[in-house]
Order: sequence, then structure tokens, then C-alpha cells
Amino acid sequence: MSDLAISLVVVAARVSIATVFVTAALPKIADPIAFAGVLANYQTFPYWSWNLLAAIVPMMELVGGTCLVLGIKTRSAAWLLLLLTLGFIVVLLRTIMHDVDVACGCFGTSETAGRVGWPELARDLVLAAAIGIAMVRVPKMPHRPR
Amino acid sequence: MTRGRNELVDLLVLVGASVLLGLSNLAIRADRVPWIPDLPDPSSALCEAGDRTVDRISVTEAMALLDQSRVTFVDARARTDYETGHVPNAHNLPASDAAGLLEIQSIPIPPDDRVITYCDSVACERSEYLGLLLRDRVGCERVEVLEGGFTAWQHAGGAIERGGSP
Repeated sequence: MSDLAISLVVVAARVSIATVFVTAALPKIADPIAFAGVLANYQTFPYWSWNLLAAIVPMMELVGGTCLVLGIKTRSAAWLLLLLTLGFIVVLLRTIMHDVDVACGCFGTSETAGRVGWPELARDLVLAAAIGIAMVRVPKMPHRPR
Repeated sequence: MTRGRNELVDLLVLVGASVLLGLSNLAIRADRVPWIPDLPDPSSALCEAGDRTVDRISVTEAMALLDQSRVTFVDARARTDYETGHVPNAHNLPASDAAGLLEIQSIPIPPDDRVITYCDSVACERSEYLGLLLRDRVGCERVEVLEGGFTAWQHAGGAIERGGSP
């Protein structure tokens, strides 16, 4: 694969991932109480942490996504989003294993989707793989002689 | 090695910035969301609710108060039940739903309003729990539980409103 092709794939992955995370973050930042309720319904997090997680996790999504698409601290932003996604995968696995009836809340609370399950887990696995691609260092293009 | 260390430092900076921005978002909001909920854990409070009681109000008396301005009805049932039919102008704070519980402090109930909570029926404990929270945590001075809940309200021919907000 040529350097140009690699660069295009990596940039496309970064833009796609940033779009997903920023889109997911905004409604949760706008209504942290609703997202705290979603977190509570997962029956995974302690009561005292609901509001803190509802405030910080969406902001991590926004900061990570924004930095990734703007090319600021790109690899660290990708690491941040990867760690978040791995965390989501662990929570989803626990939820599925314990048969907890809860809506995902991944993109805010207005979504009409039913309880979380394997499709959401598959989506997060694909997302994690895409973040792996986004972490590839873009090859530097040689200067063309004029 | 140095590059990896720089990336780790940058990662910590991004995490720190996210924490600061997130906490600031809670702090500057008009609805004053606390960093840590100062309401009791729903699971433990439900267990304690049996030890204490909230005053009762009969359906007949509650129906006479419906149009009075200093009276607020609070529906403790799930959102779907509320949308199917509720006491006119009642607020919906689902006592079985953490989101509803966390919204308690942001609903506009003047502390000196007379507050009437209700759920489905006589045996329903959610209105009792919600009443305790509104009285002991939010500071509402006069809180009562509707005897017989929404079922008794319907049987008595009380007015019913359908649909969403408030």
C-alpha cells in the first residue's frame, strides 16, 4: 500500500471516529442528569459516582474527538478514545452477562433503541479497531522538486 | 522511549482537561447539579421508607385542591404510565428511575407549596419514598401521599391529562 493510500485511510478513520465521539458527547454534555440516570440503570457504578462519570466521560469523548480531528496530540487523543471504548466494552459485557435491562445511552437518552446487547458490543469492537487504524503514524510525504 | 513518555504525558493532560471541563459544566449549570448526589441511594432509602411515614390525603380532598395555585402534584410512576394518563399538571419523577430521582432538586416546587405524591395504588410504596425525599431532602414543608394512588383518582372520576411534559 502506498504512503498516500495509508495516509488517506488513517485520516478517514480519524474523521469518522471523531464524528462518532463528538456526536455521542454533545447530548450527554447538554443533559448530564439524564446520562447519570442511564449510568445508574447499568447497575455497575456506585451511587456517588453517577454525576461525576456523567460529567467527565462525555467531556473525554468531546476532547478526544476534537483533538483527533484537528490533529492536536493525535496519538494521545486516540489512546484516550481507545481506553474509553475498551471501558465501554467491559461495561457492555458485564451488562449482557448479568442480563441487565438497560438502554445503551451511548448517544444520549433520546435514542429509541431497546436494551443493550451484542450489536452494541460489536459496534464498539469495530470502533476499537478503527481507533487502532487512526493511531498509525501518517507517513511524511517527500517534497516534490519544483 | 521518549516519544512514548511524551504521549503518556499528553494523554494525562487530555484526561485532566476533560475532568476540569466536565466538573465545570456541572458547576456552572443553572440547575446546579451536584458533583456527588446528596440524595440517598434509592435502594437503601426504599428499605428505610417503611420506618417513617408521610401524611396521607384522601382522593376527595385532593380533587378539591386540583385547581389551587399553591398545590403541586408529583407522579412517581414510570414515564410510560404518566404519558398514558396523569393528574393534570402533575410533575413526573419516576421513583424507580434514577434519572427521575436525580431531577428532584431541579423541579420548580416552591418549598411552601403543598405537595401531593402518588403512584399506582394503595400498596405502591414509590409515592411514599418520593414524598420522604421531597420533605426531608428537598425541604418541601407540606408533603402528602394520595391515598389509593392514581387508581383511586380514576375511580373517583378525577380529571385526567394525557401526554408528556411537565
